[in-house]
Amino acid sequence: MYRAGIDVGGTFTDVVLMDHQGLVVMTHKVPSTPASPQEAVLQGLSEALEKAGAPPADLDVVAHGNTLGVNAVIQRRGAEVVLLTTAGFGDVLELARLRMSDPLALVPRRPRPMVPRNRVFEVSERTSAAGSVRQRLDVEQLRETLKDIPVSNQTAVAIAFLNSYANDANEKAARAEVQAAFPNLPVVTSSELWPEAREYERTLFTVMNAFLVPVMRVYYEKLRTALKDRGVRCRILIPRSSGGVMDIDEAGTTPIHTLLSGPAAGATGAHFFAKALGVTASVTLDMGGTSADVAFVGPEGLVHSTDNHVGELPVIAPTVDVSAIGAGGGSIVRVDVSGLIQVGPDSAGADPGPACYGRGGIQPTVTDAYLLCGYLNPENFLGGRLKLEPILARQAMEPIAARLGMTLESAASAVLQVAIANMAAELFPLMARRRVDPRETTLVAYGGAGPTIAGLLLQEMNLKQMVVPPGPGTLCALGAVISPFKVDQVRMVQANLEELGTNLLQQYYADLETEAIRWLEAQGVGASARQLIRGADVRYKGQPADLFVELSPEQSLTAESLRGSFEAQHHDIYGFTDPKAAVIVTKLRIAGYGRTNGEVQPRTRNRESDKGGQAGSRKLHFALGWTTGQILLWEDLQVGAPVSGPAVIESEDTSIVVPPGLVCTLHETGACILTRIVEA
Amino acid sequence: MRSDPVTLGVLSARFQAIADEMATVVQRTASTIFVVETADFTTMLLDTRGRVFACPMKIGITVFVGLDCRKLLELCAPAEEGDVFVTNDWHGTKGASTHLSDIVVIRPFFWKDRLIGYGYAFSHATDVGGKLPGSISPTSSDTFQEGIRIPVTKLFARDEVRDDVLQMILANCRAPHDNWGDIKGLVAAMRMGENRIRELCDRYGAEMVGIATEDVIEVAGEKARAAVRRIPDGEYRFADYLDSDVVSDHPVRLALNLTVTGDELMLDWSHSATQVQGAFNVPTGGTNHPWITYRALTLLRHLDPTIPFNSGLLTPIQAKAPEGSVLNPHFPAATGVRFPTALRANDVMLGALAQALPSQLPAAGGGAMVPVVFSEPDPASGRPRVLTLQVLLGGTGGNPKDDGIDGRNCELAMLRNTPVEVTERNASVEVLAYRLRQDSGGAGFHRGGTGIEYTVRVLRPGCVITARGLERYNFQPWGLEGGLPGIQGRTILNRGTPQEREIGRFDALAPAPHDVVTFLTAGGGGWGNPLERPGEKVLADFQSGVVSVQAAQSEYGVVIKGDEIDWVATEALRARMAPEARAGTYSFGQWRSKHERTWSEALQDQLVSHLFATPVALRSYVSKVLVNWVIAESAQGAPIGAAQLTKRWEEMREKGWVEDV
Repeated sequence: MYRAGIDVGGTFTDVVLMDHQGLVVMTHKVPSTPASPQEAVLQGLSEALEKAGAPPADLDVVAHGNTLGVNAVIQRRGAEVVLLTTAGFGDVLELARLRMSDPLALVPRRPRPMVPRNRVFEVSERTSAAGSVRQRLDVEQLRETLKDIPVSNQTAVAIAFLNSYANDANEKAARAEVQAAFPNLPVVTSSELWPEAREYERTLFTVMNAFLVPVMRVYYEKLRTALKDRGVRCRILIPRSSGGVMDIDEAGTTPIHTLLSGPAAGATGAHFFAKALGVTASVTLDMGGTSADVAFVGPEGLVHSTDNHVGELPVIAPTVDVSAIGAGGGSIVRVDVSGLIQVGPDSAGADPGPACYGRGGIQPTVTDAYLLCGYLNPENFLGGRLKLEPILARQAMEPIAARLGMTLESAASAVLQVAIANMAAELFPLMARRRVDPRETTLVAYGGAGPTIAGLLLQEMNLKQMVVPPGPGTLCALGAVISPFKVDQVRMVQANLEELGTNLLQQYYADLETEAIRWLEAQGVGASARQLIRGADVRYKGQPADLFVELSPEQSLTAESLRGSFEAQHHDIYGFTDPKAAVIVTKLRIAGYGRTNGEVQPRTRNRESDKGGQAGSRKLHFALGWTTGQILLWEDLQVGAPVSGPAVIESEDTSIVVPPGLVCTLHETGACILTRIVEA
Repeated sequence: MRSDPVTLGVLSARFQAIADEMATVVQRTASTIFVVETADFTTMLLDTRGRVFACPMKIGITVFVGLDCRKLLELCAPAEEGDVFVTNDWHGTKGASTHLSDIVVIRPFFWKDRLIGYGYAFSHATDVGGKLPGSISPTSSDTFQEGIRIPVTKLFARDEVRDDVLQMILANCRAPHDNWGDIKGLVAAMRMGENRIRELCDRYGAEMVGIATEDVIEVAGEKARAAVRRIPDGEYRFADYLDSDVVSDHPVRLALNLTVTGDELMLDWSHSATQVQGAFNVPTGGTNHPWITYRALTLLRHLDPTIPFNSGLLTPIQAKAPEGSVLNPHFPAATGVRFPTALRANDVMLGALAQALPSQLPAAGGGAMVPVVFSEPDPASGRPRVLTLQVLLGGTGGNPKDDGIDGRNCELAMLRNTPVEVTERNASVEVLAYRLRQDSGGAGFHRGGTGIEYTVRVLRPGCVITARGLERYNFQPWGLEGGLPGIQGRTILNRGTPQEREIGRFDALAPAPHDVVTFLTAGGGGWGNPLERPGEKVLADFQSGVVSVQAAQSEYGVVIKGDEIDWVATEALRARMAPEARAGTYSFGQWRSKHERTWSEALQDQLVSHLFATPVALRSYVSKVLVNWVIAESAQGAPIGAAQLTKRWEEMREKGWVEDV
């Protein structure tokens, strides 16, 4: 039996096949088909199975990560959402949190709310902050309102009332009315989806879910039917934004939880190898032609963010802690009036792409600079799938070199120095915010362009080391297939811990756990395969922000033990505790995990060579000038044998650049590890 | 420029990263909501000459990028490694802090015993003592009422805190724990900044780093000059008003002569009002200072977004405000509520620049920022518990390309609001509405952004509501190029009941249980002729509820029947209204027209010049006498002219200023 991991990206759709021993036996890439993404999925999967000599019936799981949801939100291609709010608060999306994305703009851009004002309807009802219903839902008024609502087959209804996180009665009653009036429309309430205080974020979360339901449900339905037609009848799982996977049906009704499924799966894959190598703290760098994303990973798994954004839209539930740091290889290069190099922020994107792609791009990009510095093999880029044209890169870079008064290659090298300094400038503050020390941090680089630039970034930032996992071009697909089931639950408490007491605390957790278990059981996860992890958002009274505290499953749960865990962590971070201060518990959380079937080996079965690449040597340009570097094929590397820079290690996925001063070693998992050469 | 462009490119990115990194350190280690959530702080890098060479652009307060810290650094001497200086003294530092609530921390940066620059950070302290909790009151009449004043003082020597100094400061604050927590955050950020700069020196050499700091400022300067050259030469005059300084009813005029000559931009504020008795004075040192130059800086970055964000932006700019001006007060003026004045100065710069760059700039925004502060007795102890219910803003002005933004604005500060669910959890209020205010945006081809409505019901006895910065209640945010002004703010008690009462710009309100208070903030001004706004857009505004059917007709000439436009009636109405459409650049609204019927520009200029010629100690008295005289005389008949005012002023002078009984 085999398991398949799939990742649908903007340019390519990747497939990974894993056998029953947990070995990756096949990786495969086909061009994406954005108009109907399932076509590329089918093509990629069929080809991979064929190459592996496996019939479709041998698949027992397909795990399918994608960026369809996030693209739909960014491009605003989704349902026509109708939003019901509490009377007086219909502008919750217009006002947002007031702050705008560019505080320096003289003429700030007008934001586009997810739901235009004329599709927002105010409803008479009110719940207090303490959770008592001050005013029951005015059913008559709601029925009248529902008569005015414009409905099409693209309509979905979101219901988000004030303080519904504390009592969901009015939202439930409203949902019943809406369902009675429009039995076929998707209806989402904020309290069932994510019952956390802060009306803007919760409302938006609900709206985004409603926005995605019709789009994603239709896509998943098409995918399932198409797979069935090809004889694939196994389970289909979708990666969740916070890591882990969920069943495709569940993902169709709560697609918001899979918004960042691609990045989450990628970080899961990166963590898998980092852990196998004994790495504790790492930052992942996923760089492709149009984006460069970093995510933070701790020793036990993904670091979660509850303050993530998609564009300008906040995501209230936990997600992988991913941030964009520039536009990747497609970033356009210029020289400004003062003679300074500017890299980005605009990008040549995937179309036309860098000049050297030969698709009509004429502006110089970072990828063109790689090529001119000798980092890329024009004949063996992406395993030969795309022939690069050095002459076009030269033509594009010529004006830059002329303005700088440099040779073409020196100019290209200078461009890379600036590009890397810019990435470092984005990454340093992100690390500072998370108390991550660069000198202790491992960079896990993947995506087509990540391993090419990461060695230089390692040197610029003085990071500890860098890891390139095997199959870096298909790591998101691998991450999808190795992810466990995952569910997140939250309960607002907002109480003094002492007043709350152990009994209530235990009861609240028991309620959350019951919910989590119900969810896991619905995914077919039995008691022996599940793990529940308790967490809490806690602060001293008067403090401005919560600290997230994970509670050890071994420890018995009491008010005192919770306080103890909080104070231990507080001491770690701030260097003190305040035993006299009251402790406020804001939220309780449960993260439920369920093992999916099967072993996973952190290595890749050696594949026979079918690439056009060739070992040898090539001139490479670094900051200090030209040098000759060895060119090696990844598959030819010997475990443990060091390769000193300057060198380039090529594979069908990527080119790993080993700058002078670094050394690359192949690990038995198949990963390349780059470290600084230690001077004797 | 002495650096090679590649190294400079790399180092300027790193400088920006260090400033950003310091800001994140403050945000994760500080101890108050003001700093962590509201982000009322900044962290900057200074060269040895007191110029800012890096400032965060995405976190905290960005306005201080143009701060000149020469005076401040003179006072931070002698500076040794590991020292940290603290101050909040606007007078001694010539505006390095601008009210006592902003606590500034300075750390000299050393590399191998050599002074290579400084770190600067400030954060807004919850309380620094003074006459009431929170320290800031519009009615404070001198700075001593606003809290403890800390002249530049060494707080850390060799990285050890000087406990006597610390205790001296904290003993004079109502929230000593909060203040110390925030200061520690700033100090931690400074230390990390120094380490980062040292790493750069280790790698590139202090020489090269030093040259790069000068070069990034120089590059910004060159680009800023190039941007000024794109503004046509000329002299542009503009004035706008604060409704009053609260202590009196007389409006406070801010007047600017903006002169562009080649690549130089002069901002002459000399005709602005003399300092006021309330706390609205803005300490600037009388020269280039953020509060009286910021709009010009943002304009330059609008013209060229690649200008590095540092002191170099000020290279082509020369601002001046005479001592004794509301924009450069004598010590010991009160300065606590300088923000509304700075906000208006921003409008004035925009208005002047709009003449220089016709059809490029937006109309005035809502022009007010109102923290609604709520105090209620703690049920157990009976002591007052104070918190901010919400920060209220108005929308932005309409602009040549688009409508203004509804209910949001970030002209000077990038604050976040408080979720209603958080407010209701923490205060004994029920929020009844928080939404856009219909018909408040100035009508225009591009409509002004709306103000907002915020309505709260008070649930308990013994509560007090204050709201400083209730501005644009009289003088409207002006429209541009035919657009109409935004509608003024209002405050209403028990709206829609028999007890309904307009309470306007109230000072402190002690509501009874179940009283309902409604705040309506001003909308932004409109841009362009509203009669030319496509009917479909007016209809869409009607359907979304931002514009009423009445306003569609009276302001836009669009007749809406049911849910559709009556095109025939609309054409006829628009033709009838056309002759009345405003020509000219600005439309100010009736309040200002009425005010200026009495107070011509010449008369106001004359008043200001006489007051500057009056002994400082007598200015507010003489001002009051002259203002009252002008108002009384003009009420009798013909407006008073400048010459008559001069005569009256000279009489006073001859009598030794004191009027006969």
